[in-house]
Amino acid sequence: MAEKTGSAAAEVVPALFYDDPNAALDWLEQAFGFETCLRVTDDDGVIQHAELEHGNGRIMLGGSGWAEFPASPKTLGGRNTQCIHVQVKDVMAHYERAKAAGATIAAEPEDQFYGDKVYRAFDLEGHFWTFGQTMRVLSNADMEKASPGLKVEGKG
Amino acid sequence: MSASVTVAITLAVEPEEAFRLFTEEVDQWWQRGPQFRFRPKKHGTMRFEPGEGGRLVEVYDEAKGELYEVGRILVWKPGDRLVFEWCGPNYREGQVTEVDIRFKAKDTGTRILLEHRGWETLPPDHPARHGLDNRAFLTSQGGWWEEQLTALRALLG
Repeated sequence: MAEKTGSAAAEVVPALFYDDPNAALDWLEQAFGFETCLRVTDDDGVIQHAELEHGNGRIMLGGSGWAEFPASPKTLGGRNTQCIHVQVKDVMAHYERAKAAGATIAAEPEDQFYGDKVYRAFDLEGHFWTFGQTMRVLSNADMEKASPGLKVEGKG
Repeated sequence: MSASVTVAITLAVEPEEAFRLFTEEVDQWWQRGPQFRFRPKKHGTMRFEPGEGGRLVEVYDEAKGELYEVGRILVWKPGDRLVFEWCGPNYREGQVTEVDIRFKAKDTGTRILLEHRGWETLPPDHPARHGLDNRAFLTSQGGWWEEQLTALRALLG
């Protein structure tokens, strides 16, 4: 379990809304390789809150019906307003595992101009995810050369 | 189903050793102070009496047999599973919760999955809930166990 506060802790923690948080938790473990580190279940057996880890990263998940604004992409025609990106150690193995578990692949693994191999997928309720692995460490100048017209600044 | 909270942690040891640390070394990792111990004004020693039918107790005076009994051990399978009953000092008759711990081998050691369940036996106005709604209360219980398991892992340095 990652420390919740401390030098090794993830300071940004996305939280996702699911119509069926119980199914989502199992699925995210099976398909994307997350590990549950906290699960809060109510009297009816419904998960009210859960936290899952992947490496030193963490997400939270919960239901969708507790206020006006939370909704699952499932009820929004599949539209997403954001995407969660996860950097993995072996993107091809991750891709095969996710696909076998029923992830909807939106884009096959592909080398990107910035040196990573990335694939895109929708989870069981249509949340959009991307998974990448750094294959080549490139300088900003190399990236600009590989993708004419873009200016790359900062430390990637 | 029943209201429950589950927390998990990975220890870099084999399941048998994780089970041994959890049980034999319990007083080493069990946090001290009124938030964690059962009689705030007395300092005791946490102890698992090994085996099914044994108990988890906090012993204050060995000679006088003065202790607090947290609950009976229901399942004792070294390296695999430990289940015990849990009654807080302010629980009444019929109010009992249960702690179920599984030790699962994985490539980096042992994943300890600790579920504390049976919270539906405590009514909404129970003092143990500190006026919190179910979700907030259970989340705080999760935080309590996370602190405990983090201390357990710290035994390994």
